Amino acid sequence: MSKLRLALSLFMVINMTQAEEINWHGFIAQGLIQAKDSSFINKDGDISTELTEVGINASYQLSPELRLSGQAVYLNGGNRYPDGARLDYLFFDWSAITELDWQLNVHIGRYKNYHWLFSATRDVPHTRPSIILPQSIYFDAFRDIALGTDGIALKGSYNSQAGEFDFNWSYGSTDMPHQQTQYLFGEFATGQISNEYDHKASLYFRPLDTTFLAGINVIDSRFSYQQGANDAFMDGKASVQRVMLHLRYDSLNWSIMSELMQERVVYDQLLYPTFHSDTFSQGGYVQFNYHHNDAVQSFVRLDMVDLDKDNRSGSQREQLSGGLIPSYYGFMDDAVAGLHWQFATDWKLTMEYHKIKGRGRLAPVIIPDFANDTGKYWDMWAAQIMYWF
Amino acid sequence: MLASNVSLAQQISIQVYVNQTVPVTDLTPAQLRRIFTMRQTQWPNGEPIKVVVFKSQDPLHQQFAKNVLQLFPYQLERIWNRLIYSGQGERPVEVDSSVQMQRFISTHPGAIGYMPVTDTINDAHLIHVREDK
Repeated sequence: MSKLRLALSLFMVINMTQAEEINWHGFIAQGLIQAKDSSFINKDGDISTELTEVGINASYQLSPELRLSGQAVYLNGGNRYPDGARLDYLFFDWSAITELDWQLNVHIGRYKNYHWLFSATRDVPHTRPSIILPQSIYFDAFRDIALGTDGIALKGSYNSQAGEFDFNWSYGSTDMPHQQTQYLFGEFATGQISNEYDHKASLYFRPLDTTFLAGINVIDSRFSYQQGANDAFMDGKASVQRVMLHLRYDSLNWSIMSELMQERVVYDQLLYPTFHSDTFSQGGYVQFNYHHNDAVQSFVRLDMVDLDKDNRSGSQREQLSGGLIPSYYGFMDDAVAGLHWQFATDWKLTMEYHKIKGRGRLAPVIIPDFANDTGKYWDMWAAQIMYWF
Repeated sequence: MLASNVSLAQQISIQVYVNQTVPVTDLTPAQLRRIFTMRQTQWPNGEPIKVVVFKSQDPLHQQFAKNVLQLFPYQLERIWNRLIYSGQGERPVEVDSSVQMQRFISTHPGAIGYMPVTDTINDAHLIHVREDK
């Protein structure tokens, strides 16, 4: 919060001195959501208003080559991630190379995740493909880890005879509050997770004269856990490595998009001194959007994730836990249908329905709430109205 | 796939103009795409680029997006939104009429915009849109 106050103060100072040079934008969105047979949103499964997203951003051009840009958000997603205000991004953007066929920008500060199709604006409702993003890729419990990294990022683009290339590279670490630890580890964790580093790189290609986009992304992150008082966990380490593919094709009346990933997660110690876990998960989604007219789009999506590619049914985890953690915590498959309706300039309503098999993408992650979250199948609906400026 | 380069010249009933300060006489569709998607922010001489467009619903804007930039208008909106809400850029200035477009291009150093071929701007440079490399 101190960083948030610092950012807001900085913007107020700039605003007072050079108000005419500042660009302001924002968004506000409120919805209703219900996941009756799951604690994905809340414990009781009732209809919830915990679907709030508010943000305001500003940018200031310090010189032709240098820009300062920042955004603060307030988010409430129920059990999906910690609620509250966040400094979403605040960075200096230096235009290092500005040739007509070749550009390079350097971002220093807290920057967004530029590497996936929707990661840079995952909290900006009118830019998303749905209210709840595909959890195989955009797992909400990891939201604060996947975004808001403090460090350095490079963004480059190049026009060639074959088409357009965009590449992104970033290196930094993410500040993780204690509440985030409990989202991942459960309420018995009194210690603290730290992100030692987060390293990402991606390359996108758009062939000449096409509306097809293809990209690849690699991630390497390291985490450490420091035991707290009366902690159910002990000191430990974790590493996450991801490889992802990103595909999108746009036509006049329809679009299709897909993102696929394989992720290796290694845990050491954490549960007991000799504990070691090394698993590969796989997942991804395909979404089809049909544009009925300029204002209305309908969409369908299939999203699937298996937490252990060598044991997709989750039976091994059930055996290892002595039957405590049911096998359906080893995967999660989600079929979605929905509608976007932009009923006025800068106003949109989105509605969607999810039919879900499995519980592999529920928080907490390490030791799930298997006593309360029971049953292989569950469903969810959501409706959200959004305004932006 | 959008209009091919071969038919581009025939299909364009739109001309691209820049302010007289801009030291560029011709651009490819790919270069124009970088400029109008707000990812290219400076001219080669370091002058900031000021992009001006008609509103998204305007048929001329839709024709410009599809035939010149080879993007659907909804793709342009998506790209601008991504820039605005992740801190990477701004959306272009929007105008309602040809008169406003002419005035903006001729009075703002570094400006770039477009007009129907039936209209001309005397105090601005016409850009030759050449084929991609």
